[in-house]
Amino acid sequence: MFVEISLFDQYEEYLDCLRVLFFNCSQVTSCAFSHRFVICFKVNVKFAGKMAATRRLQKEMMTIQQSTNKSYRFMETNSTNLLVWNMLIIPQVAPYNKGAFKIEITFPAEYPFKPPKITFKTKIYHPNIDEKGQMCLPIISPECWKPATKADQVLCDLVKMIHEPQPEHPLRADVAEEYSRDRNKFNKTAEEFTKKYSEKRPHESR
Amino acid sequence: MSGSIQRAENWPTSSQDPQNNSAMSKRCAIKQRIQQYYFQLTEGCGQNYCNNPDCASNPNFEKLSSDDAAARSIVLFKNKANFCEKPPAKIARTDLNHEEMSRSSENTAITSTASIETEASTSCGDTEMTDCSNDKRKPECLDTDVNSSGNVTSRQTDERTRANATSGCAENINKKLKQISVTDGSEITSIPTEQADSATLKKIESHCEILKKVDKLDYSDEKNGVFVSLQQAIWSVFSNADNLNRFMVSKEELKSQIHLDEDKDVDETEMNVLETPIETMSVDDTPTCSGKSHPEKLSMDDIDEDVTADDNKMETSASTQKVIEDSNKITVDVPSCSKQRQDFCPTVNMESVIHVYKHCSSHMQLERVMLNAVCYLINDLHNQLKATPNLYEKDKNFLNTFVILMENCAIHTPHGLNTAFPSFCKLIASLPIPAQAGLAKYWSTYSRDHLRNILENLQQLITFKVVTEVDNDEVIAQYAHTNEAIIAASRCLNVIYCASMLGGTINREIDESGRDASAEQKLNWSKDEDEFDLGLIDGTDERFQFDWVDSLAEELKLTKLDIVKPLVPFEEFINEPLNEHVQIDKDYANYRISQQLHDKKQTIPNKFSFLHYPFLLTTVNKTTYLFYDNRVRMFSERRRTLVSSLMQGSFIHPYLKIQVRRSHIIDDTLIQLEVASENVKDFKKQLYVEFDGEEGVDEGGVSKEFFQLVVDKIFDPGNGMFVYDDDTRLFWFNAYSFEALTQYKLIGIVLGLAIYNNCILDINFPTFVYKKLLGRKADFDDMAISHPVIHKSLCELLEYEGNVEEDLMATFCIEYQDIYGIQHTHDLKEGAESIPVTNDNRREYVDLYADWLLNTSVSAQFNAFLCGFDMVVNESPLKYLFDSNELELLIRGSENYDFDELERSTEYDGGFEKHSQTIRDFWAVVHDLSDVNKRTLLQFTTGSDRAPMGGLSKLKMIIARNGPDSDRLPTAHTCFNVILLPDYKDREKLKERLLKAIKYSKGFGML
Repeated sequence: MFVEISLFDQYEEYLDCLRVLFFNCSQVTSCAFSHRFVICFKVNVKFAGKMAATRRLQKEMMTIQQSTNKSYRFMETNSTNLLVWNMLIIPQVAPYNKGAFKIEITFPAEYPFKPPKITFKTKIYHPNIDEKGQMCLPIISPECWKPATKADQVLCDLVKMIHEPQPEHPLRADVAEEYSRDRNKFNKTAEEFTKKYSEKRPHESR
Repeated sequence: MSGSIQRAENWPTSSQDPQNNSAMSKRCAIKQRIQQYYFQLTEGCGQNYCNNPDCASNPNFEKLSSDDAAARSIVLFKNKANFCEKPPAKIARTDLNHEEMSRSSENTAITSTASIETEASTSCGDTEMTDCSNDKRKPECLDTDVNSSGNVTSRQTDERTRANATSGCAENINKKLKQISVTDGSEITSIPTEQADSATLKKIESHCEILKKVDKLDYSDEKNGVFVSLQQAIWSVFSNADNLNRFMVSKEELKSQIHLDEDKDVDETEMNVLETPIETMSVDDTPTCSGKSHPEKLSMDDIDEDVTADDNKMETSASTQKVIEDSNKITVDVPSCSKQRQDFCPTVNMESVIHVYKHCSSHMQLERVMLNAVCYLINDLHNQLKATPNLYEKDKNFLNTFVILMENCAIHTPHGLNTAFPSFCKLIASLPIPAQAGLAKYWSTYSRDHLRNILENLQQLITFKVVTEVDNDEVIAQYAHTNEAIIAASRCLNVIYCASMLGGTINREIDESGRDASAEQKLNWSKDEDEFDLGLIDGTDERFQFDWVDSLAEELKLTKLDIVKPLVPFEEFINEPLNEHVQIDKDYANYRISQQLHDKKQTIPNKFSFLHYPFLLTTVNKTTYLFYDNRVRMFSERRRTLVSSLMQGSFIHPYLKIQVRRSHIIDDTLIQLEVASENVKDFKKQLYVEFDGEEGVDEGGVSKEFFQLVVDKIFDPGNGMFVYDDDTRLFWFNAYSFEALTQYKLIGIVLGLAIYNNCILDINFPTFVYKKLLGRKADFDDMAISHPVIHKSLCELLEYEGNVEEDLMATFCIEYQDIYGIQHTHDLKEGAESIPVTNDNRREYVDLYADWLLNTSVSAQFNAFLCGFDMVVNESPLKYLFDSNELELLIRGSENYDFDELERSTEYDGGFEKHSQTIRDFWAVVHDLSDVNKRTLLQFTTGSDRAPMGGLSKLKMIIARNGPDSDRLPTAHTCFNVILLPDYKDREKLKERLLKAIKYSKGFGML
């Protein structure tokens, strides 16, 4: 907390006001000041209001749950927040077919007018996915995103990219170079990574 | 055809004709005078008891026969007799002629149709033809009369003959006198009088015919009779406005004419019968437009029947009824004709005009004839316009002449540039505003290239005048303001400029809300101000509000801001040579003088200033104008305070002094500006900033630092007033800011003060913020700048071919996240949640979305901002001179990218090191790039060509090795500012590949 309490004796009162005024909820936990300016708030709000993007996301979720594609599925521990999906990618092709990979798909509030973001939560040795789990998937890049694109299409593309790395557009140049020059070494390292970090593959039955 | 050619032989060919302008204008003036006398003799001046012995209104005046009147008028001219105080009511020859033309049209109709289509020469044709040939001698008769009345010098006789041959005033006099002798000058209805015209009309018709068939004629041999007659034809048609109009007025026009006349006098059925055949006379009935002429043909037969009936004096109401029905049938497709007349909108058959010009300009000799004829015509028009400035109201064909002349290529030749074109420009410039508006409206219907062509011609004239006619620099400056040709061309350009705006995409939606709010505040201030002024004995207080509005634009209800996209880009109106030569200080002085005259309601500013035609000026020059304007204001404020402190004894600070502590810069500024804003005038003073405890004297430097500090503080994202978008690197108003609106007002004031005090601010607003500052709403297209992803998606939505409702499942309730990560929903419409977005209402959805995002959601913050801005610049010509892009440039200055800084902060990956040969080559190449290419490189690498806040060093660019030397192009990940660079073998290859990559990077995909 960066507050000069001496300046604002009524800090708690102020917070109360903010709660009532702006959020109509009680989750405003802290708030920081610099002389006249309110710099930021820490807010922990469970958003419970109506949501416009929900209808479509619900439907897309249903489609994915009913799909027969074995390469991805929802995690058991699914959050109540429709805008964040925790999923499991289950590659079918070596060197990744020994494990499963956790990903997080975050849908923006403006979905489907803004693309979702995908992050790998499990470490993976792949030319197109960096150490932080970020990736550049064309279908969800701002330049190529189309509002009609469905989440299952995105997932299919993702799986396809894992199966077939694209060393021409690497995020990890070293891995890409290894992939194109010395495929065996790459496969070996990737397999080691998979064994070491990946999740357990769920049972084939659904 | 051949007959008409021979008949025209008594007209001298151009080789005999002295190419002398002054002689022409003299001739024209003489003609005008004689006409005036004639009308005075026949019709009188209209005053009941006129005491001029030579006026028909004089009670003692004996009515003259028309021939006598004509002779008498010439005698009067020679004796330089007096005119009545009030000129005769009808001088407008064109007007008269037009009226008569319609009346006499029966004859001409038949003659023309006879010559064009033989099928038309039915039963009545023969008799009419003989009539015509009898009457053909009539004009000559008049001439002999004139000669026999003696006293006329041979020069004048020559004059008469020439005028006669060009079917000038002699015919008119002749016609008029015929009519009067029969009908005592009252309502003219009888048919025989009309036959007098047919000869001349027929001659004109034949000339028109020649011109129309110009492409089929062989005029290569100058001795050929065809060539001579072609010359004659050109002269006779182009030296006279009526003939010109008769030749080229389009069919629509004639049709609407009929329609209107019917509307006007349905009861005068007789007239209708007479007027309807005009349509058959239409010169456009050439085979070229066969497709269109079908319905006309049908009705023509009917009309012919009617004409026959008319001839036999057997008009029955039934037949006239029929004509009306027919005419109505014809005019159904011209629904707006009544409006046309109101607006004086010209209508010209452009095809035939261009057709003739094309052929006439191909031959030197013909072109010279054309130029002479046009010079003659222009002088004639000048005189007419001087005599009756509102001529255009009476004669709607009047403007056609201008439209036709503007197309004339003869006046755009080097020779024409010296003679005809400047005087033509002057002519247009002297037209009354509604007439100019009519022209602008007509020109706005042109195609882009067509209008551009006219524009280029005018620019050529200005450039030509600027470059050629002056020797040394000093004279040029004076010259540009006093050169009539340049002034006239500038005014003409104004018409074209308006036409270009009219023809472009216009969005008249004005953002009223902000304007209202600030107007309200302004009202309050001005009240205070008045009180303040009362106590101030200040006689020299000349507050100069900038309220100049171009009268033409006003007439057309146009402002530059409304224009989304003009027909011809604004840049093309800028004349570079003129801008180089114009002396802004002198021009600004001129502007002030004319402005003061304007304020004192002296309607015609006698001093010309280019500031009234800002579209001619470059942004740099406009900025200089603004600078002068601001300085002058500051000095006048300073003088005012000095005077008032002398008078009142109390000391008022001559500067806008702001004293701040560095540690509390925002607070201190806010308080002091708050105080200052109680008296808006203070903002007009020069800014003087003092930092507490520092001794810096503000000569501009301290202000600059002050501005930078304030802007940095206010735009600090932690502050929460503005949202910074990492992708676009732009700031946008935070709709959920907790800051008081006064802070937004402050930043508005700061922005205004920065402009006023000539400082550049480092503010990254999307361009449309400046558009909003100028009082226009942002729209969907503007979203592309501030919210590119959503904009793109919405575009996809608009173009989506499937079922929008099922596939996208969006409703009119939209959802978004504020910078604190809280989700909000907003209903674009009442009951939005249950209204799905469908293929039908998606456009509405998109527009509402944009309006909400860019206007409504931030209206409170923005209006406060705007209000502050307006407080400072409300009286300055800023809004008049600059459009939004220029305003942005004015505030931010041009972007200057420090690529050294970028180099220092760049990281390397994949085997590259700072000292790798390729990396060194890369930077060597980059530093050599042009500014444009540097920007493109930035765009290529990071997806935005703007520098991020804090400069390029904040980019964190990464250059990664992408394999060994190969022919692959460099690629980039805009998500992470990464350039993938193959390890090229040498610098040349790297440069070539890199340039290629950034050049073709537009619309790139990943794979």
